[in-house]
Amino acid sequence: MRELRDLFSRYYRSMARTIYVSEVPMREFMFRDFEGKVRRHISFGSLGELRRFMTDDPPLHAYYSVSLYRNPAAPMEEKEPVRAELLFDIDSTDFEDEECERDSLWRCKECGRTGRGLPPERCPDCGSERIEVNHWLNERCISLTKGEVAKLVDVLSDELGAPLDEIAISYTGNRGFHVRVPDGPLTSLSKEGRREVAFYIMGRGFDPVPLIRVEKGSIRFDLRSGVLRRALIYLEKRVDQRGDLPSRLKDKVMVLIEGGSVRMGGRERRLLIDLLREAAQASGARIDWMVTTDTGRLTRIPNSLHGKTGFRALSLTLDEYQQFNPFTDAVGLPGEPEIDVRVTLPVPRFKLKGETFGPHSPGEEVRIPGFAAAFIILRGRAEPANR
Amino acid sequence: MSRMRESKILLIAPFSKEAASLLEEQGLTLEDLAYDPLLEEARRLSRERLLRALDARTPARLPVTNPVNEVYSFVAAKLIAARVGRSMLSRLANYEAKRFMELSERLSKEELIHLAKSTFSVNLKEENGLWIDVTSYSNGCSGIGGSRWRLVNRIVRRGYVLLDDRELRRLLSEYVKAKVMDTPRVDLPPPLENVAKEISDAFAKRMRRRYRKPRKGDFPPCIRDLIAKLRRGENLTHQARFALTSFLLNVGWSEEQVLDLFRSAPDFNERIASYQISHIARRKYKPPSCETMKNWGLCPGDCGRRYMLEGLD
Repeated sequence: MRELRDLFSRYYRSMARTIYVSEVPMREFMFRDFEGKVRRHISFGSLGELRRFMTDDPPLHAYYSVSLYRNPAAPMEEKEPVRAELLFDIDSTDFEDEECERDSLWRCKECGRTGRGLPPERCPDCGSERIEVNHWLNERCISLTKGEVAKLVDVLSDELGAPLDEIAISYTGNRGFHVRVPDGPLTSLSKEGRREVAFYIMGRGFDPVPLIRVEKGSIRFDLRSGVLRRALIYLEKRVDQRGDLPSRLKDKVMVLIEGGSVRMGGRERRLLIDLLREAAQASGARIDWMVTTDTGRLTRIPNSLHGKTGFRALSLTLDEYQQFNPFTDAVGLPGEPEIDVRVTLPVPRFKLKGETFGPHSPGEEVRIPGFAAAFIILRGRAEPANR
Repeated sequence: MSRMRESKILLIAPFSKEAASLLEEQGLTLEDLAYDPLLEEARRLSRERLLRALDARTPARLPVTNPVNEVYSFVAAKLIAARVGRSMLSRLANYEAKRFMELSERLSKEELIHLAKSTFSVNLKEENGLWIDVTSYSNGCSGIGGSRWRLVNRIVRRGYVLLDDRELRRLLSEYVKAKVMDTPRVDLPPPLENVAKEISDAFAKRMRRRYRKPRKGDFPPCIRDLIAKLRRGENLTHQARFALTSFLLNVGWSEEQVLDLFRSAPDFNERIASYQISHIARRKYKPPSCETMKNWGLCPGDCGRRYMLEGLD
């Protein structure tokens, strides 16, 4: 891995000034080096110290704590948390999308069966659930997660009260995005309070019944609920595609969405309530709520390099992220020197910095620019050839 | 603030900021609490508080005592409860929360809003209804069960959540609980220590009655968490009690055994608990699905099970 370490080192020597974490002295840091060794409970007196550390000893992965602590370097129970950024993780791996997983490879740890594409829950041969996956990433993973970022940002600013200019977005360096609220009242949320907020954003546990107003046998919805509004709009868009719904229901949804009242029998009402529960989740943002509730979490340092791609975990503005393309914008490693690699697992065709590479089959040896070599080595599909 | 209004707040909310400044003004010490002959009434009231809390009895009516006594008795009671242990403190916290919920009905809206802002630093605004800031709401509601309390089922706009007066009082009573639970454990002068001893004995007697150690076996982490919470004397939401009871009955515990486990709940009431448990047993309810547990906020993380009884049924 000496070649990769040299590439990372060159990145940090020239780009260390872009590394930024607020309130450095109150954070815990964690690093994983190229030998796989992990160092936790590290603290720095200043941002300059942190940058110097990363330049002198470039890490494969670099993380900081979402929490601010009185004693960041102490063991967990003595750290004394003060408050914590509100963090959201949007990762396409959680979406189980076929197109996004097109070039992912899976292997059953029990019987050795391998396959390509969306990994099955159980091995089709032996039924085992012990399946390991080597994920790939493509444009689809990024466009899917961008859509979720947009939904999340809207709810955060319109409903949860986070000012737009205080919402920070960053590419994770792999298959998704991080969205943070680094300051303000939301950083005082407890773990349980964060769960309430996460479920709100996901539309999870939604129950429209308290929002139904009954007047003289007709019902009407309290449309001040953002979750309900989104669910109704989602339902309206899809109601035509569902052949199994009575046509009268479609008409009534149209009336309800405008704030009108309709007469509805008990059966019809129950059906609508069930549909709205599904629609609330389908129209919510797909975040990993476990990440949001975990205030002890360590998360990737913005603008550091991701050790599974070599890409930069780029901070992005609200205007930038929509246009952002990691395969050109987040390539942080230099192309020089070129590196000889031996392919160990199938590598699909991929494009970095406008240049197309692959496909390559296992056993092939190729000489390619540093950033492309790093990409397939770090994804576990090739190794340096001189070994 | 008028003196009458201040007295009312002290009586109803002996944990309020007004109460804290009164304590500071008077420079009350532990020794005063223990020995001052003028504080005999406060000591009597504190013992009553503790005994009522112990049996999860209904809170006393609005006292006719001097408000100062009410504040002092509140302080003495929580110091004594903390001295006895977390489980007792948790019972007192529950009692004080209930007491506040009942008595705060007498506060005007204006007084209630004042109390919420000054004592609990919540942000409130009135604008076609009463609104509370998202963070205060979410931190407070997580201890309250029921889907209508979940943030996802509320009206939320620009960082504020709509609620009515009664809901605000319920939410604040959760803050009261947290405030009582925050009491430090300190050594007490002999007269107070004696009360602690008396309460501790009474508490132990009630716990001993038929308490047996629960079998833990290979229970899923969600169930282990709930059992641990009960053992620490923490309160469980209605959903959590249902999940725990239906699970234990399904793995073969008797109704008696389940009842014994619930004895450490701070609001334990034998009649109500045994009725609920046998209702679940009669209906042969299955424990909730993992999905439901996640929605109720009771799933501590992926344990690899597809349903609670996996490997046990």
